[in-house]
Amino acid sequence: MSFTPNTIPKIEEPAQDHRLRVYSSIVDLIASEENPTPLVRLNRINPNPDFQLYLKLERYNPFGSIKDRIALEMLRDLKCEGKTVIEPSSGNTGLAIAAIANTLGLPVEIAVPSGIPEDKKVMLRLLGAKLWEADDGLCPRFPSEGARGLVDAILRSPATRDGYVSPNQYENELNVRAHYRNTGPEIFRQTGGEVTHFFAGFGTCGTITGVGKYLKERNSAIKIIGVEPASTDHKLPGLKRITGLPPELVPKILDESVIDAREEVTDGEAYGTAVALARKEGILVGPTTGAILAVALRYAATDSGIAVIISPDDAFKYGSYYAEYLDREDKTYGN
Amino acid sequence: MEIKEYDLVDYVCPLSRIKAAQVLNGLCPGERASILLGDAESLKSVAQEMQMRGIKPAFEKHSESRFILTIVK
Repeated sequence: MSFTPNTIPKIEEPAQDHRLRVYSSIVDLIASEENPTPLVRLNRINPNPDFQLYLKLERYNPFGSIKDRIALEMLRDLKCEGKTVIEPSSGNTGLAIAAIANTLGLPVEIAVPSGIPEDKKVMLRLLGAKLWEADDGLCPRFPSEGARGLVDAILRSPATRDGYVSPNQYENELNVRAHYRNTGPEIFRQTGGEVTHFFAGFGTCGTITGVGKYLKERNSAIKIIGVEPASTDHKLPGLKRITGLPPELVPKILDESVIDAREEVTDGEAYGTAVALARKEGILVGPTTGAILAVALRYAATDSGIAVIISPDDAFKYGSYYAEYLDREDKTYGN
Repeated sequence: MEIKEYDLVDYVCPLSRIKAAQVLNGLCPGERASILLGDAESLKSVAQEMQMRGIKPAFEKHSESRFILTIVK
């Protein structure tokens, strides 16, 4: 029996009546098979009626992203014992951890890349989390992941290590389990088992590994497609370029055996697709959704079936990023 | 002039670099400080931080796990 000091109410006990939508805690709103995030069909951006595209809108989790699922799973199991919870995050995991930790009265510190949108930093401060900002090049042990290197150093330094504990989403199997137990079954059930393609990004790799494993077990013919930035220097927070990474820097929870294809996407293609989605379908998503959808649209040129595309979060945390894109668009087209 | 001493031996890289930057930010122009570091990785990283800020530190190696950087802001 593992030590479980964190008394987060289990979503399934007592059973919630999601029709009434009355909850005893905000964390009860985190998605589960009984209370799934919506799947929404795309009707105007997709030219191929034989390849139906459905976005799984993870923004409908209570703290705004797909990371709510894993934060809940990891914090439930974390042996805090009076220590401060610390985690590197490009924002979404940090927000979810900070919010859930607040419901438990746990102190939280989040290490963020200094380049993330100011909006996310404000939200983390609003939640009372102490922020550590790290340049991507800060740590030679984790090139291009300064925040991860900083947390690693805090956990190794004799001066600080006894005061902190980290969920460590890159190595924590509970990250995978959250998607294997919930996101995967939700998708299978919502599509009546008819899903043929699943698209997700590479980041910590918990989503693609957990959902991919579940779907492959149900039907090995389902194609699992992973999306990564075309270069390491990108503006797609939460996504990681896996190709070319030394093995020790590849997230330990990634299971490549469930992945059928790895596809690259540029910032321009990702932002352009996210903007097109807003203008054709009225759905406001973060740039990472744009990246994943851009790849799905490539498959729409040749494939048929039912595709589910993970939409990790919404556009509202990326106002400053989109402003840059829209300003360039205005200059190009003279709007 | 008095030299302020800061012991960062128990901070590993890159936390040592961040702590050293905080030390530097707290110094007044012309003030001197010596920073004790516990590993070569920290030494390299902190020296890099100082150089980026236009400060050339003096360096002394006491042992494999004791390095002293002396800086003037």
